[in-house]
Amino acid sequence: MKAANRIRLPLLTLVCVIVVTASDAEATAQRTFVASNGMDLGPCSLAQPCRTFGAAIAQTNDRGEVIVLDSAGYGGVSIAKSVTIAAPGGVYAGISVFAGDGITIDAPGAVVLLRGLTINGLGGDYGVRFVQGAELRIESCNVSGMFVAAVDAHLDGGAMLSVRDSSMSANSQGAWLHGAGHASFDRVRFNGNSNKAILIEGMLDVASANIEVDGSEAGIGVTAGAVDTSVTVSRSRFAATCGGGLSIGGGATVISAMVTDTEFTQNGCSAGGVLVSSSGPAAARASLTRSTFSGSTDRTVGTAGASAVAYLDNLVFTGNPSVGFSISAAGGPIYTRLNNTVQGTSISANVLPYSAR
Amino acid sequence: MRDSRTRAWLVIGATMAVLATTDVCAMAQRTFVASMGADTNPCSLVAPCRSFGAAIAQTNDKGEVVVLDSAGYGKVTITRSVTIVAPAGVYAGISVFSGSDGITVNAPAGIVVLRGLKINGQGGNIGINFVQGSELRIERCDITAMNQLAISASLSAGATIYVHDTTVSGRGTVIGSGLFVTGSGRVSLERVAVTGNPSVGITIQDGPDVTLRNVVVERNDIGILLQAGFGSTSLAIDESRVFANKNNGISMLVGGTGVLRAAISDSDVVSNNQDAHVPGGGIVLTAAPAGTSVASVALTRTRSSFNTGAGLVAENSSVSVYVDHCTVIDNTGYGLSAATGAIVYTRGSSTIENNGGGNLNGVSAYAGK
Amino acid sequence: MIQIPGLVAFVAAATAAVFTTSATATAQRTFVASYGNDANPCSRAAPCRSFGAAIAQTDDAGELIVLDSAGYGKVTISKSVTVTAPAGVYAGISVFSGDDGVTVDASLGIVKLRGLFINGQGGNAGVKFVQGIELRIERCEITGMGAYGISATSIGSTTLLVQDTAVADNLGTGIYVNGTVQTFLSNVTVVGNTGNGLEFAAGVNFSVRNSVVDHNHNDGISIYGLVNNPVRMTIDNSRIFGNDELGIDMPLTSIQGASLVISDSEIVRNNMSTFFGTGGVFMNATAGLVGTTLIRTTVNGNGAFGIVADSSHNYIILDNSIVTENGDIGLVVANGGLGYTRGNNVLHHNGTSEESGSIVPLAPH
Repeated sequence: MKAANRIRLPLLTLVCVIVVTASDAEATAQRTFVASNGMDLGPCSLAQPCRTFGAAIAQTNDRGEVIVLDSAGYGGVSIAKSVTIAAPGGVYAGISVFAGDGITIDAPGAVVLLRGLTINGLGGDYGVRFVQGAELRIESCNVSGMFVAAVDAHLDGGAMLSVRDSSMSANSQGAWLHGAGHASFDRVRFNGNSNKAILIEGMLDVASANIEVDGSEAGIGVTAGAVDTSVTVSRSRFAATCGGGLSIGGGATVISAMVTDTEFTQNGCSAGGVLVSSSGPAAARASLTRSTFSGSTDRTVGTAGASAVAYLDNLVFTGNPSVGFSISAAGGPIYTRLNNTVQGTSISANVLPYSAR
Repeated sequence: MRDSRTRAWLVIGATMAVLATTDVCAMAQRTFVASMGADTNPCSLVAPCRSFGAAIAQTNDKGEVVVLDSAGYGKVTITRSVTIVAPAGVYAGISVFSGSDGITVNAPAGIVVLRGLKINGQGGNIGINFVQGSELRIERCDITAMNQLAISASLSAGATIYVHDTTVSGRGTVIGSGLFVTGSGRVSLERVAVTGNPSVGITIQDGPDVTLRNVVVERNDIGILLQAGFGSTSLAIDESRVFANKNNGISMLVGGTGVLRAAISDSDVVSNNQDAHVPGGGIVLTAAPAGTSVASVALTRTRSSFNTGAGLVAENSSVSVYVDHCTVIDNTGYGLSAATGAIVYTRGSSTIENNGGGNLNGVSAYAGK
Repeated sequence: MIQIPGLVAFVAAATAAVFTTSATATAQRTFVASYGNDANPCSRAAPCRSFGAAIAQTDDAGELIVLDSAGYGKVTISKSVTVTAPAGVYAGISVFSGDDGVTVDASLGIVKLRGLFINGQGGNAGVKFVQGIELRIERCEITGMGAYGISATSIGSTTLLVQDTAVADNLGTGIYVNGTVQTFLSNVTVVGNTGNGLEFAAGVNFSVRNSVVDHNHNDGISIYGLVNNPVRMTIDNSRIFGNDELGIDMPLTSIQGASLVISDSEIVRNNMSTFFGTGGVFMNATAGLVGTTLIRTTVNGNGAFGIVADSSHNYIILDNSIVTENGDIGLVVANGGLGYTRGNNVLHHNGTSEESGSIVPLAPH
């Protein structure tokens, strides 16, 4: 009996020691680590990494970094500070999302960088949901299978989202942007999202280069909000959408878009390449340059609503079946530099010349 | 007997210890650092060191320091040619604390290559400070949250700095700029993102030849600031974007005896100057009223739109701008504006519409050949 | 001896909470490694050794991760799954005689393959897509296959995406697509294949971007079939260079019409050896209206003809392009074909003449 008691004491002591160590380890560090063999009770150091992002972030300084050491799943996380979560190339850092969000960011002024993560939806709604913060950078990430959006960003007050070298595929929406902020996309692939690749609602400005969109309802959808919106697209491709490569729905505030050096192909349903509509009173306009439009099954470039206009410069329209007009100024006028190549004569009325300057 | 054998072993042991110590001082063409290394080691593959400083001291001129696994490796001053490389899959970090710089390169005639390093400011001043050297290559690096500058380079004639596949960001510190380059050397940026610096994204000063390709400069105060007070400065920007900077997108100032030649092609300069600085806009080009400075800028197939202020404004004489096949729309001020003796030429090939202050102000025509 | 069963049990419980311990239950994420064993549950701590075993243990729409460099064996996939080898990990499949590397036969399946190295050792096809909603091949390398690098013949509305991938030195066709498989190629390198580089049969809609089709030993791109549906094809910012036969051979006929738009690309030095027939682009449809539009594209140095529209069912539109130094005639419109020019092209130094046939100005709008 006494012997048994003696044996039990060391066990209790051991447990106490572990608890005490854990308290000491709550001191935060400029850099913490997670690994497949990590333990969340540890200090998340290099020698004693943690197992989940949640545990590691709790131990990381403001503006510090969480580094993924080897390939595994690391769990969803809520972020309420500035932090970087980075998996170096060669390390797979996965988050399976069964419900709700993969990563939630909700911290005024927070600057967050996510690099090298793979977020896979298995019932979840949002891959990354930016509720509040100053800046979110997403680099080299893949987000797929989310039921509402891969990335949902509320960017009021001039917050900034930048997405680079990433992909969003087989989600409902790809990137859903709200609020008077800024967003940029570079070398991002949007494949097979069932709603829009990028849905822009009431944003200040969005710029993108070298993005590829296919198989969405629309490539980029823009609706007017509380502030005027500008959208810039360069050197990109929109294919196989059912709703247009670029679809602008103007209203109370001005929406202006520039599209340059971009391909629109195989876009169909009710709108082909670029559709500019506005219920007014503010203007909605698209300025299109050096881009190609082919294989649309309805209006390739069209306006709807009196305050919707478009400008055409050095474009090529070819191989579009003649269902409706290729260039359809059903709303406001479509202006042409008279330097566009149009196969066939599928041009509506109200297409007017404008001069280069 | 025992004593003498013991003594013999002691002698052998001591000799080995001495040899070991000697090995520690010998240099090698390649050294290694690792998370389980120790700076008393020879920095070899089997006995790596723990810090960059210790490893570099053991590396031959023009040798290499290889990072074996993910960890922090400490700030370092480099005084000769060396390559530090962390392969893909290895995170090699340097946290820079108050009063320090991350990497200082002070290597006369040296060629220094830095690959795969992550430099994170925790109160520190400069991420990479190129004080002296022949060439600095920064590849696949990431520099964030420095209080003064991410990268600072002072380039004598013939010196070159390459920055490729690298991101430079302020991440919300109170002060701090991205890149600062000065002197008559060369600068090449490819696939670089310069974002979120509370001060200037890229500062170019007095004399370098600079090329930017596939570069993104976003959400800084001034995006790109060029100051040419003396020397001959050239700037070529291609397939790049200057976006949502709170101050001017590209601000070029020439004065004194400075000469500037700039060519911007297939790029987007959009949505800048929301803080409404004056003179302000996407591209602002100003010469000092006195002095012999000259500036010539060509904009080709470039978009300068959605800016607060002008799409392009050029001020004072000896400044000329050539605009060809551009799209300049929806700026709150002028589309293109030539003021107080500056000349802005247009080929008559651009789309310039819906600018709040008027599409053209004082613009001249020029003919293609 | 002091035993601390409590601690052991705690650790075991924690481990079990994180990892699946049952060998028969499937998981949202499984793992293979060089040290794995197919009797394992394919968990992070106990990975499997082959793709086949691991996929059997993976949830529908789950992921299979490759932990380290090794060969992992051919596999047939019949569910939605993502197979990922991170950069730096070589995940190899050697394909022996009579076999295919990865066969995707997954009704309603969305399958992604990332970072695989598929090498033929007598095998037939590197990746064979026979059924599924979408197959995405990313950062892979497929070489040395006997018949096809990639063969996609899935029926119904399906999509094939190939990105950042090299399909090279196969003893047959590089990428073969047949039927209703809509195809998107981005940053793909198709070189050195014994057959055609790309082969699109039976009216496939495709979009090729930022890619290279070089030095294949038959045509660079072969597009053929007799179909009713409209066909939409684009090639952008790409290069078709040095193929032994034609750069683009397009005898495709589509009753409702077909359109190939080539922009900002180069079709250079194809068909150099025979100097007979077309080097650059050749079309010969028998019905409907099938055309090629070339925009800011260079057709240079090809053997014999640069661009040929060889039937009354074919047209060419030339816009801001360059057709130079082809062996015979630069632009040929024959047998009732239609040629249109925007009048802003450069044609010079073609061997016999710059153009032949009826080429009319296309007024700008």
